[in-house]
Amino acid sequence: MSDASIDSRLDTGEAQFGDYFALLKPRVMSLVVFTALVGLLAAPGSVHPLLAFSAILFIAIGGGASGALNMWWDADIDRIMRRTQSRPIPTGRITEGEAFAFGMFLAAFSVIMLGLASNYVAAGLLAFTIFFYVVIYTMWLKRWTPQNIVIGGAAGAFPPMIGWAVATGGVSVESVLMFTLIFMWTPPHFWALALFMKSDYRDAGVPMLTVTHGRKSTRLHIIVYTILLAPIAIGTGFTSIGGPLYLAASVLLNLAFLKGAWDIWRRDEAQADADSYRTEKRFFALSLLYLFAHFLAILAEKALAAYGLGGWA
Amino acid sequence: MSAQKADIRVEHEIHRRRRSRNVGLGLVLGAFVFLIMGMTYVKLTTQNAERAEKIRAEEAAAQGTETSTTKEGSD
Repeated sequence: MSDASIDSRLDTGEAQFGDYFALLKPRVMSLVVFTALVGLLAAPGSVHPLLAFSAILFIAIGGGASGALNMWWDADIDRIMRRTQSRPIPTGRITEGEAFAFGMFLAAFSVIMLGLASNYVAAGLLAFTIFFYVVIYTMWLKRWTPQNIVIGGAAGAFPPMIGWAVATGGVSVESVLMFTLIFMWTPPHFWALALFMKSDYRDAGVPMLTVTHGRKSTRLHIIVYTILLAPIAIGTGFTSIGGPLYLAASVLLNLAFLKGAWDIWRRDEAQADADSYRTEKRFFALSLLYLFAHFLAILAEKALAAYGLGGWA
Repeated sequence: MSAQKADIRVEHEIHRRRRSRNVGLGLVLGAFVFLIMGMTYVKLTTQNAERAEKIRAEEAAAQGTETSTTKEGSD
């Protein structure tokens, strides 16, 4: 083998800094950062800004570590699904072993550092979140049951609870409600995606509800979960993190979300095919706005409270 | 000697290829050092100050009780 052949082999697909960053699932991380920040800021008491920044950073790194370990375990199905084929492992820029080592290191690092920056309740919750996402969801539920999204959604629901624990050192009704809001929101959000990502999950052999129970049943599940979600989201408005502004926003958002779920339920596959799943795509986009606006409203209530305007007091 | 110097200056192709990785990692490690410094400073100045104040208050309260007990004893 000549030097030239060695060089040309090395030259192809070398992992760059951006590839390691992509391994952390930055889009998921942005949701983690936002909800954890709201949890931290909405909590009673105050945290020094630098410690708050550090805590959010380590929570984000913990979330990223879960993403890297998820990509390590799911490398085989990521190669099949169109949506995930451009990830660093399927493209060959990062090996599975590297992703595993990177994820494990960041997981341990983030938990230890969060413990040092804030407290061990928050660190324990972060460790449990990583464990839940990687072991319970990715390794166990995802390929075994169509309820994967329902139970696995808990992993994405923990960040506001961790943020709250950073500020208070504990768990409360409000932080559990923020958890429940994301937990109940996750299934309709992902099932809407599964409806228009038609063959991806089937090809990869992932037992999504659309694959195991059919599309009609998935549409029914979406409306049931949306109905169950509404009282939780609106009810949060009557706690210490809510207020008139949150309540008004939540009522409007839930009406729009229920209308979207109703539209999805009434449709059949022929109608959806005819307009390229426009209603399902619109519902998916609305679901992102729904969650973002709820947490923004919690933050607004807290900000207004500083001027004697927010909350119920 | 001059040949050795030249060898050190030569940039291997691998350095160019891994530049973004190396620069990125360097920046991340640098930022981490500053973050740890900042966290240490905050913890020492705010949290330790709070704890010291609490201990001083407890000590003062204990001393006050002791003084009043002694006074009562002398009466």
